[in-house]
Amino acid sequence: MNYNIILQYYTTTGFEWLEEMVTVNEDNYKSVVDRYKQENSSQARALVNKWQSDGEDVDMYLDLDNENAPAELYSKVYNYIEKIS
Amino acid sequence: MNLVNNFNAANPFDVKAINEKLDQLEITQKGLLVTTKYAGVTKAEKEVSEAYQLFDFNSFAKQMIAEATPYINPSKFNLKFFKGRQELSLFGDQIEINGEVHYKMLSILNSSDKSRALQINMGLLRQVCSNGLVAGVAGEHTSVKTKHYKTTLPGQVEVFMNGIVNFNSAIDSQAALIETLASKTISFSEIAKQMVYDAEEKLVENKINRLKAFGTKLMKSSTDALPNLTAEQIKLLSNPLAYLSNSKKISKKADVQMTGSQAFHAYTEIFRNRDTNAIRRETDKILTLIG
Repeated sequence: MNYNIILQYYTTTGFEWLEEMVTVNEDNYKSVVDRYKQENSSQARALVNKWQSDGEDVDMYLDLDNENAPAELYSKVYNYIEKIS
Repeated sequence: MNLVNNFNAANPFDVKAINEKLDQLEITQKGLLVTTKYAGVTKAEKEVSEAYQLFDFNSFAKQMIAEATPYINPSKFNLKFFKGRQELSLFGDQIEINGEVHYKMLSILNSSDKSRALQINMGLLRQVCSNGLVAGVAGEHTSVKTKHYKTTLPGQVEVFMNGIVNFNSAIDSQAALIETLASKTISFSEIAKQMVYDAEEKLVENKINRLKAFGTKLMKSSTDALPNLTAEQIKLLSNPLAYLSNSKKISKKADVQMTGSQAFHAYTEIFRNRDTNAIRRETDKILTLIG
């Protein structure tokens, strides 16, 4: 069964982030997270570099928010993100 | 992918939706171990000392929404949980200052993994920046920053709660102060000297990066860069210290004149990603520099 979660590159300060709502299930969540990371990590790094060169003290981390996934699946996605981050 | 921020990603104000999300958050303490769970998943575990005061973010946020609503009249909210950190922002009534839209804002930032102090702030958000509180409101009743100590946390929260009634008058004072900045003129060299030299005219090393960041914002800010800068002025803003530390004279032609508002917005933008307490502190500093 498919559920929605929000993948995001979140700032350490909490004011800005890159986010995308994705559909995941027990079979595809790793590839969905991998795809999101591949497509967005360089943009996140570029933003952090720009902010830091402007004198701002900020970093970004990969995280997720839940929309309607059951705890078991949400937990798997969260743990996978923790593992690859 | 577009970058979203605390304001433009905010949802229409909906107490039921906020409560449903808050109810998925569990912060518990067993012995000296504090566990933060969201949607049943452990997002943080942290060992604390005997002096640690657990803060019930869920109940407090609900109470604050009820208490602050009459003063802010919220129309949008944002509620984010990141590892052991929780942040709720409410955005409310619009106020126009110097032709720019600002919003009344309440922000509660807490951590249950000792990464951040508890911070509660009410103030103004400038729409064009929309990344965080841009103008802190003076007065102890509209701001709290406290570590999670049993001895201090409950008392400070109580002071804040009791002071909410003063919010609108504090906002009015702040708006009036910002409004006066538009009619003031100040030069970059005046600000620079005050920023990096102490009372005995000694260079303060740790202020240098801040001055460089200020110069960069005046040149490159997407919202507050100064228009039509000359090559000489760009040279000055790019490397202000070369002029100051070597006692090079900054000619009137090379110096950069700006309004108090331009200086205020460019300076506070350096801190737009910092916590609201830092923004409040820096807001006070630049207001003092502008005079």
